[in-house]
Amino acid sequence: MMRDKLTTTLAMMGVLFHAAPTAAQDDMPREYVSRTFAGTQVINAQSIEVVPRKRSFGFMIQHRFGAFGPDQQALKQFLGMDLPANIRFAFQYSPLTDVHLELGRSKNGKVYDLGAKARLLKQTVEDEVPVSVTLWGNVGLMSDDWPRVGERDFFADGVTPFAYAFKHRLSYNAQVIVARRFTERFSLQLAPVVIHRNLVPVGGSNLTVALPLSGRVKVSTKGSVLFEVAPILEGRQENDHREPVAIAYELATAGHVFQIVIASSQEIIEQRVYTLPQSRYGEGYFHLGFNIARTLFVKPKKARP
Amino acid sequence: MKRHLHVLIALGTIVALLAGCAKDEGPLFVPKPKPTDPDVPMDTVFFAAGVVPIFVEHCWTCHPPMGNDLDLSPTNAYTSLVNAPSSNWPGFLITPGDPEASVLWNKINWHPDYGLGMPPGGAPLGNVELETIREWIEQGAMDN
Repeated sequence: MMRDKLTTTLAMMGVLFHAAPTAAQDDMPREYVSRTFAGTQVINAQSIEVVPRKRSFGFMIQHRFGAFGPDQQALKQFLGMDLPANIRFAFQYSPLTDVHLELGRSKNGKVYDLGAKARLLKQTVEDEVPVSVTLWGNVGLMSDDWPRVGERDFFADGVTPFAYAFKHRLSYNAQVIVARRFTERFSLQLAPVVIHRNLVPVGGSNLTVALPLSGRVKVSTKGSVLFEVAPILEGRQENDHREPVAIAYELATAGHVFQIVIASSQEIIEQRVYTLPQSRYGEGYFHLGFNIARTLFVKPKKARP
Repeated sequence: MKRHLHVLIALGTIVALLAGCAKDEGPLFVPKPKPTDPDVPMDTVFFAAGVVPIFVEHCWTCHPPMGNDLDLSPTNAYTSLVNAPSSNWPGFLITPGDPEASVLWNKINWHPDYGLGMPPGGAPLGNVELETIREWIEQGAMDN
């Protein structure tokens, strides 16, 4: 089973890396491929893009409504819009070229997340560098109230009396994001993700490993169709843990990105998207939502005479 | 110098984050052993003293008197729930003696066949609160 997963991973990596570098042209200035994706997020997954200019800001609003499906509730609850929704606000700041810091806050779990993203490699037009590579890591702090603990609650050993501690609020996420813009219209990225949660339900796995595959197909000058699927390689929960999937239509300009999303998860940050149960999308249950991102460019400092 | 400062800040952040790492599982709820001797009386769970305070703490904000189709205020909670048909799901909200057949029990346990779990925001019910409701239903969901 694990071998099959590894083979799949290698095969997917192979697709991304298939374009080997051609003859090196070190004397020529390299021209980089730009806008592999329009924003710093694909849909739920991070993209290889960072806030594009040093000292600039980014702002995002990500919203997911309740689940809707092929039943009488769909109309009654207006495609899940009458149900409780999840929303995340995030601010980004770029202190260095090709690096940004991100601070976000999501409603579900009242999670604050602080992350850093750094672009390591940029795909070049002449294919000396066939892919772009970005690192992303964040820490999440769940600030919601804990459930009441009784005297018959124990840690997994069944002996130590259970008590919540601050460390149980923390979860971590690290990702290597590899992407390639194959043509003007088509980009693909693979973003292996490792998540560690300090506290999980009994029988759960503290470690989760997933392999989100995301793509963008441009259908017009500003419009694109985006898709994501994330096989769970490690840490699948017992209660019917399906692979997160999402599809979106995106309208993008130089500073704005707007997406209409249909996703299998109401969650937004990695620590929850890849570790919590999804809607039963095999039976047609999804979450409608949208993402809005705005980049606020700051003019570079003028050189002193 | 500035470059070294960035590296130091990055390393310091990583060390601080790793210092907070843990690998815990829980909570594991160990229910009270049920008396096997018929002469030993079972602990009675009272609706007014045991169950209503749970509704007040977790449910009343969204289910107030005359708020929507479910009133979980202390005065009306019993008649709203026991042997009352669910407006969205098959079965009664509370079926006396049978937690698994009760829509409310499945909602507060986030059963995937019963739509949105309850409560959808704030702290979920703790094991001790779930056990109180389960025992009350199993004991016949009395208005006591």
